Amino acid sequence: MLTASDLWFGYDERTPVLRGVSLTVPADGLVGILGPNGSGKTTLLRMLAGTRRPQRGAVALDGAPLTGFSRAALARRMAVVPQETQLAFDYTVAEVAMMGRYPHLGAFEIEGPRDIAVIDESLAATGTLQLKDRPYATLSGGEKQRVVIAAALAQIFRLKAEGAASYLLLDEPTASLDLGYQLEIADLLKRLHAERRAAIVISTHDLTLAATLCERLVLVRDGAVLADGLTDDVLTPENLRKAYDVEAEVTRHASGHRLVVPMRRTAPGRPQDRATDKHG
Amino acid sequence: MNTDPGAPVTLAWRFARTVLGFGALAVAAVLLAPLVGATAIDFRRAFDFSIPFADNVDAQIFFVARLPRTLAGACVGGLFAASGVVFQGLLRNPLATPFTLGVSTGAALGAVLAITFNWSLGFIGISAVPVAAFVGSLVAVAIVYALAQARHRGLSTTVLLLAGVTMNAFFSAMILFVQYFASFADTYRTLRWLMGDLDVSSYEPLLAALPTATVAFVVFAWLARPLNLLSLGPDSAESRGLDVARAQRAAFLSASLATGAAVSIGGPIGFVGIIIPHLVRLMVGPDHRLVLPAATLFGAAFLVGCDLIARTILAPVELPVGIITALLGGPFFLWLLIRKP
Amino acid sequence: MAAHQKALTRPVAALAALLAVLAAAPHRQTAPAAARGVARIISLVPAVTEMIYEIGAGPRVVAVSSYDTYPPEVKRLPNVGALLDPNVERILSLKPDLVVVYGSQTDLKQQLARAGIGVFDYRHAGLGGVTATVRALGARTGDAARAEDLAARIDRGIEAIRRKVHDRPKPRTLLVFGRERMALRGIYASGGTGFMDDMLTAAGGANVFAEVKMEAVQASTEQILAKRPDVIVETRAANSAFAVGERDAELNVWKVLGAIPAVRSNRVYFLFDDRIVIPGPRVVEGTEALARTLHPDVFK
Repeated sequence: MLTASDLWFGYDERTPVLRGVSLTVPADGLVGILGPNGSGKTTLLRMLAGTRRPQRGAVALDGAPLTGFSRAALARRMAVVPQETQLAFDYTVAEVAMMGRYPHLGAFEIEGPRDIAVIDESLAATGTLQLKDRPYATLSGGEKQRVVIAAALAQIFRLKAEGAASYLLLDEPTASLDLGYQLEIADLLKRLHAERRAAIVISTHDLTLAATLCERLVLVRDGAVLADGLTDDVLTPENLRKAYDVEAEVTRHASGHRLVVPMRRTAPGRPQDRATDKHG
Repeated sequence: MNTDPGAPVTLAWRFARTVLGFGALAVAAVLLAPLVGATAIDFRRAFDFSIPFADNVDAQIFFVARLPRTLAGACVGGLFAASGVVFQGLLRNPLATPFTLGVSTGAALGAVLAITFNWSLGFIGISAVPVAAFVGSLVAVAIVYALAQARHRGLSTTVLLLAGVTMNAFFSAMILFVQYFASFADTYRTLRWLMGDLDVSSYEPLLAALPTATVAFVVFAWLARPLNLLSLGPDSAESRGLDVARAQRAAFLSASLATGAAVSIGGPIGFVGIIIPHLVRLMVGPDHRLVLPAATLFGAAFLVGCDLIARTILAPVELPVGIITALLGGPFFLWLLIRKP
Repeated sequence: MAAHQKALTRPVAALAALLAVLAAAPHRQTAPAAARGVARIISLVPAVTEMIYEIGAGPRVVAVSSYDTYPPEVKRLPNVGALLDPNVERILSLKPDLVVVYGSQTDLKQQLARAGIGVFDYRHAGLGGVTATVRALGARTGDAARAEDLAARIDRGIEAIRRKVHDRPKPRTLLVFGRERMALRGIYASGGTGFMDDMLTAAGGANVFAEVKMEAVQASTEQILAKRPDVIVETRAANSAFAVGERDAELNVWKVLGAIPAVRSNRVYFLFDDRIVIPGPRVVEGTEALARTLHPDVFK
């Protein structure tokens, strides 16, 4: 279980990015952090992953504070998939995936057969094994994102027998993708979750993705949590108005998908609901 | 990378193959280059140790003129090529060179001052120019590092780049300023120094640079995998467990020291630090664990070869080695630009 | 003459006369002294400054270059810059009649021409150029007779040295005029042409780089070893001399080339003497100093 308790963070004194955020990610959860741009989602994700320290409050993994873990130990439990991955050099898919094994290897250790087996398995899980020897730069947007997810899976890979859960954190996983690839990624994440590979946390401003994919939602705005709970409980017109200043309807489509239909803007909300500068 | 059952030893195998291949090239260059030159040597006489060394011109040409020069070429070529790789990885830009961040311009300013004002370290009995060059490089590194460190954690590569480019411009202006007040002859001599000169005539400059070079290469070895990670972006690298701030600091300082050492031996010889990393990546791929050793060895062989050309092609006149590397580097880049699409 | 030829003669003659007048008209850049009178001289070329004083025109010099040191009187004169940084405003403000400039200072020459100021165009040449310059200078300043005397004296002086060393074997000489301090790096030696090479030949030496037709050669250690000089002479201007305490150390840097005759027989010399590096009237003394170094037995 990944627990955040009362996190506070600001890049400077006057503009806090996170104001007392608390949330819980269960070991088999599929949690979405949803909110408009600038609500502090990316910063929150980095804090959950342990790559940023809060100024106040703490994050704990299975009860142990993140600060007590070594970088490598933490990286073996938690992997972050950024919105976009730009390569400076022309690595192949296999080489990109292999970078995920970094926390498992010593300073001068070379990856061995087990590492190769893990990345093969991870690539297969995301449907990209056949791309293994292709240069990453030649892939489509969706393929690239799937490869990066595979690298993350390789990073947190554990045999089923081990007890401690792994966490896969994705920052706006579909924001830079075309519609088709968005669906591709959403399906992949659903499948990964069903296969119990890891707990999944995504941060997004995409209502549809949050609505269709996540079991639990944490709704944030201006660095504070507006609502936290099961998706059905969180995605209410009332909460959406508070978060987005939008009148919306939430229904279920015949296929079973949740649908959020934004209808019109409302008047800009109360001052404490108003968006601050972009720190999301 | 292939995926057949030989795969488990792929990287180790590729590493061994790379090091052996490029190593053989470097060793061949170092062994063969002293045998060739503008002057014909009687090699039997040169290696006849019964003749007193002080009387043996052929031996002196080989052991005093050519061999130290060849070793200097190998050392400097390896240092420039390797630091080029590290700077490119640090700045995440294949166009970065060892000269991008102002280190070599700082060294050049030191050398220009020493040459123009005829500084002498006579009381220690060594030449002031390499020392001034190395000190100049350290000053440049310190300034750029302090500027880039001013932000919060780690080194911002953007600020690093801006600070480095600014210091480059500033030091270059200072060099012009010094030259303006120098006599015509001194200006000519500093210009020639800036074109590179590997004629060290003794092993002392190499031994003096050895500690710095050794430290730099040890750090480079450790940096190979972190540089791979950094090329996906500092945030990605951080989330994989890399201490990004420490890796960036190590990369900047080690590559700058290596560049400073190289410039203090042979002057700011250009193009080695950018041609070699590119060529090597084309041959072995972008994995820094292969690129770093390959670039070091290939850079050594390349510069030894360029110096060989420089001292023989227009005999009896010798060209500055920097001209040869530039003549080879320019067309190489044009070719790179043309072949991309 | 036939009738039509006669008819042509007058226009042709007029045309010829016109052309003759145009040809004889003074070129703007070199107004003859006779037409103007040279009372105020500025010299940017130290060698020519010395010549000016030697031919008696010294009192007319109003300013010199920043590198001038001889004769001692020039130190009291204002300086107007040098080859790379001539101070045009200052030059103009001193209202000279004649300015001695380097041939390469084209901008300066244009500005002076526009101001109608006479220019003496100095071009660096070999040893023979010294006397040619002296004579040309004398013609410009109106001291042709004394210039001729000086030129003749220089010629005789050089000739005398030549004769003295004439039947001596010529030592193979490396004439170094610049290198890094305390190191055998960046060694610049005289090539087979130019003023220094001429002096060396007159002094009875054989330049090891005689076949390289450049004034300056950057000599590598391999080249020096291959050339096997019998004598190495390092020349510098007097203000670039090595401090006395450092001379031994500077001599020792040559020891690493122990196989060359100059090192083995201890014939490495320092000549810190402006008379050798400045191609002016004292070139005779400079050549003699060089000859004395190469042939000590001849010059007691």
